Amino acid sequence: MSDVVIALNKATKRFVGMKQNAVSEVTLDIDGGSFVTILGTSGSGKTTLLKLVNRIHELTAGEILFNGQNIHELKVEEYRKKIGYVIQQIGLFPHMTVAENIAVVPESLKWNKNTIEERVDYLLELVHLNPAYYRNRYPAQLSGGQQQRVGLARAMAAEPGIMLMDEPFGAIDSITRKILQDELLAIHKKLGKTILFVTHDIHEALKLGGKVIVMDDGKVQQYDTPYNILFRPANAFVSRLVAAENTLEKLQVLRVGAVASPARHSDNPNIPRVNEAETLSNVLAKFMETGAPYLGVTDDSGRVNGEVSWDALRSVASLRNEGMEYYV
Amino acid sequence: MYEFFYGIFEYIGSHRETWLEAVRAHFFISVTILFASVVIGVPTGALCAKKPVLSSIVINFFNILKVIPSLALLLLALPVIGIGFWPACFALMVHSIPTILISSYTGMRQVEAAILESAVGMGLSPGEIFWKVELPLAAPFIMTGVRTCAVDVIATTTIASYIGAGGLGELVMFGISFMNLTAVVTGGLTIASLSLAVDAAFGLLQRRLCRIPVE
Ligand SMILES: Nc1ncnc2c1ncn2[C@@H]1O[C@H](COP(=O)(O)OP(=O)(O)OP(=O)(O)O)[C@@H](O)[C@H]1O
Ligand SMILES: [Mg+2]
Repeated sequence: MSDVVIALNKATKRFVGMKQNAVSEVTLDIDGGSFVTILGTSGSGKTTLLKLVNRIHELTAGEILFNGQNIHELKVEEYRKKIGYVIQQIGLFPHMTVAENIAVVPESLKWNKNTIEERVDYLLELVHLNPAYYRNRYPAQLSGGQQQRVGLARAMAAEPGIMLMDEPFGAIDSITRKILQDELLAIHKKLGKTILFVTHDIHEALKLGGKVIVMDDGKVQQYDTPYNILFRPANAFVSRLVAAENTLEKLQVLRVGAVASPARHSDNPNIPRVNEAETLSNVLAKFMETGAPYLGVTDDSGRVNGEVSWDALRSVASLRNEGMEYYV
Repeated sequence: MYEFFYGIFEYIGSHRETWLEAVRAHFFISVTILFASVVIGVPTGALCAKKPVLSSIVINFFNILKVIPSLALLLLALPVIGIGFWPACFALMVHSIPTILISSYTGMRQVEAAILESAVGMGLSPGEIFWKVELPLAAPFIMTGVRTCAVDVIATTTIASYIGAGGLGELVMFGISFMNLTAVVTGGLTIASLSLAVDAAFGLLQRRLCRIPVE
């Protein structure tokens, strides 16, 4: 699961006629099954980096490996079919129904008709669209949020191992966006796909990413867990980026895992419990509701595998942003 | 008024063979021109949409030719290409190809960049993208071009008779030379009816083919 699926080695892109690199010597590994977000301001090279991975743009220098193979040595169309691609403008085919849109790549791969039908229904259910209602609708008959769900289903159609997503929720209202974020997290947990997700929303990047790539000026500023991005910024840029996040916002994006310790009270059946994937803001709520001094942390099967104490939670609020020294 | 129409029907009745032959020839020339224009115009338009340099050359070339009126072109071309069916088709196609070429070019150009980006990104080949995405999305534009062109061609085929290609123009020319008003009007009305019928037929076809809901 944690094998490296994509490895960038000094990946560099300079567009013809440009004085600067759009992406500059990016070296990093993406582990299989991980959810990695790419965060940066406009023009920092996020989209270019993503497009280098599925070869919409070709590298100027450096190399990108897919499961150890140089992507330039792969047949480009075959390679792209192993990668799901979702963009902000969605790009559904307006002359095809929802089902036909989702079926495009499986049909191109000559899947059997019944398999495709079943796959379409499965995917529509996965993205919470009732197949009976939505199969035969046209994109113009759907809301923006529904269209993006179809876009997601279409990108997953041929069971790609990797999903590339470029600000997929950027044009969607904040309530629907939050719902879609939670659903995407659930899908990631269920299917274990590797996801590379571009956003310029720091909250979204920290909430979704198991790891975050912070980019500026075509270069990677930091590639780390949300916790380390928040509390151990690698340089002045990252420090400035996260400085605006207040304690409550931090609690909203950090998860129990970041502050949990091994279980010492697991024999006590009465302690309140939280799932390890909960955000710390939910943990705070649980503390306030129950008044308990510590909570049991459970995995998905309900087994207690750790605990989080009130003091540990408070440490998040009092943790000094070690990058503060950059700012004077 | 009644007598006027009666005169036309009587004329058709008494010259049945000639009239039918003229309609048949007219229709045949028009269909040939239209078919050839589609076969040449659609791919060229599609290609131009992909190659900006090519498009400025090709479109300017046809625009220049288009300035010359059909009849002048027919007469100018006469010494070079001779008379008869093919010379007439050739001269008239100079006007009909651009209509279709430009509608096909426009149709291809209006396909949204985001749609193409997803098509490329999901690993479709250029051929698949053309047949499954670009052509269907350009189809409404192409169809409008073909429809306009069809009506135009039926009208302009009238002058094909000047270089001996036959058709309903002969009836009109004959009427003019012999001061036979009934022949002129019969020819004219037949051409008009043919145009209307073709326009209506394409209208139906268009509604069938373009099923994208707008709202
Ligand atoms: N096709 C292109 N040709 C030339 N320059 C380009 C092209 N695409 C991007 N660039 C340039 O490369 C740089 C990085 O662009 P990129 O689209 O990767 O930014 P981004 O981080 O995705 O920004 P945004 O948040 O606005 O989408 C920019 O300076 C941009 O102008
Ligand atoms: Mg971008």
